Amino acid sequence: MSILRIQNLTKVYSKGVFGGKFRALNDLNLEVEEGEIFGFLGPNGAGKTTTIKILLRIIFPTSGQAWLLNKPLGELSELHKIGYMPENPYFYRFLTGQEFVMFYAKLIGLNHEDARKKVDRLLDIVGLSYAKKTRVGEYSKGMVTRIGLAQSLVTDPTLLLLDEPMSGLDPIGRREIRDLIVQLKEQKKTIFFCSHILADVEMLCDRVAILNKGELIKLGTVQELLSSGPAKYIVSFDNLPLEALPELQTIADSHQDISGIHHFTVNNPEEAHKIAELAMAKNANLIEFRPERGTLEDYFVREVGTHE
Amino acid sequence: MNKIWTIALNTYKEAVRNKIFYIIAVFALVLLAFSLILATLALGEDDRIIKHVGLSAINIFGLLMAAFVGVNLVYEELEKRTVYTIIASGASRSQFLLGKFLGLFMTVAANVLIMGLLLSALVIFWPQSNLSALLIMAIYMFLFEMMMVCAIAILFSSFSTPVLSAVLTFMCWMIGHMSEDLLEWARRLAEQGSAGLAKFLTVIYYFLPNLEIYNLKNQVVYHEDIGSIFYHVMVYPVYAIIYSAILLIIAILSFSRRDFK
Repeated sequence: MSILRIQNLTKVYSKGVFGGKFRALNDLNLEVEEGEIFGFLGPNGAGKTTTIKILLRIIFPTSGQAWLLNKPLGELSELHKIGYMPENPYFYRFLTGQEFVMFYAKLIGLNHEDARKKVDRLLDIVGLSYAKKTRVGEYSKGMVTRIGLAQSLVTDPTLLLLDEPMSGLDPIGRREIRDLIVQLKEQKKTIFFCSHILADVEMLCDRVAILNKGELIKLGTVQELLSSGPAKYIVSFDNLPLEALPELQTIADSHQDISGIHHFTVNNPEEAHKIAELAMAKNANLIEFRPERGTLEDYFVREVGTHE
Repeated sequence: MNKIWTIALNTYKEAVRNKIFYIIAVFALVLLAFSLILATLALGEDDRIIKHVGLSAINIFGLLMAAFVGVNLVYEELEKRTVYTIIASGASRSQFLLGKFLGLFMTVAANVLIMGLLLSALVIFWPQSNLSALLIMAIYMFLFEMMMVCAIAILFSSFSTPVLSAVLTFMCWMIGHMSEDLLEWARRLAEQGSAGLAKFLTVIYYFLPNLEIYNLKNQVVYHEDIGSIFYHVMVYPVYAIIYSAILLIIAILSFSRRDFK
């Protein structure tokens, strides 16, 4: 079942009185299924945050419609089932972590006792119980992200909108947030996830959409997108006689000699087999023969590049 | 109402923990202490000087707090995108704005009341001075002036930048204290035969906030008669509440269809 449906969504901004128009989002159509982690990708200015803002009614669409949890936008009560974490969150610095999450718990109408229980549980989930009495202004970037995630979970949402949750985090912080997102998926939550960090998207997301200049340019599972790109093959040898090298180099697209191990990269399996046969005929030891799938980053750069 | 109150309390907590709050409070205390020095220098004028400087300090710092904290409140929430999370939690834009106003007014009122208590203590314990009912009335009236200034600051910050909002708020405050002069000017113009211009100025007078009615400083210092107690206790406060409500309705209308950046 679709938890989020976007139909012909367009947002046009006016650039001052004589500045003309800027189309931030153009005729976007999208559906997000219940329980999936959906990656929403695109370069800066692609329209990702604009889409999230429209979904939260922070800005209003020029045309088009969207349904959250099968209800048209604007039905306030439905927002109670949505969690949102903004990009580079800069929260109330003078509140303690506990007070900060309490604020949101009370905002959704919980009484003091229930709010306190919920907040303690959420701080435990995001691993911030030890810092609940510390002011948010003294938190590290990773801790701010985690408290942001706790805040977004206060409504016990079925749909979580995360805008660049890994932005500015070190590898350990990214790993922690990634693990938390996986845990949330296990709890049957749907996660709509904007990110620039494509390695994380590749690891986490079931499906991705790529947006560029306000338009949807690709939509599919990570597997589908990557298998649609050109494949590469890596063939590696040791004990390769030097006289065999020139012939192999003419066939291969690239060659690297790392500590006596020769790695050849080609674009098709026929060439890979040919290199393997020639080298082995010269008594080289074949130590690796594998297809190499491009990364999501390669795919993203290629796709966005072709639409420039 | 619960959401408005939650946002108001949060705004109050944030504001009173902000360094600006303490800086303004410390400056006000320094000024109160300064009034004591002046009082010892001006023989026989202790009472007037302490009350004049004390009430001026409360006025100035109350105004500074209402304007500077007020104009930044909404802007900062938009800049730091915390307003997004508040709206995502189910609060409406009007609840957000009313909560911000209430939180701001609570902060300013706390500041005014603390300074008012200190000034009251000062005049009680200073040998040549005394606590008059008029001084308490002046502080009470000033709270309603601050209510209007907070509403003005929130109105401007709902559609403008902090700097412009601060300038406009100060301008409104100044005009608010001079609006009686506008009426006097209109009267003179009418006498000179410029009936059209006089009418125009009279209409403007009724649109502008009349803040001078909340200024009882001279009456406190020179023990002057303030006129109708009923007006001061009931009518002027009700005027402040209605005027602030109208400003907030305009602010909500401007804010509710606005695209946040």
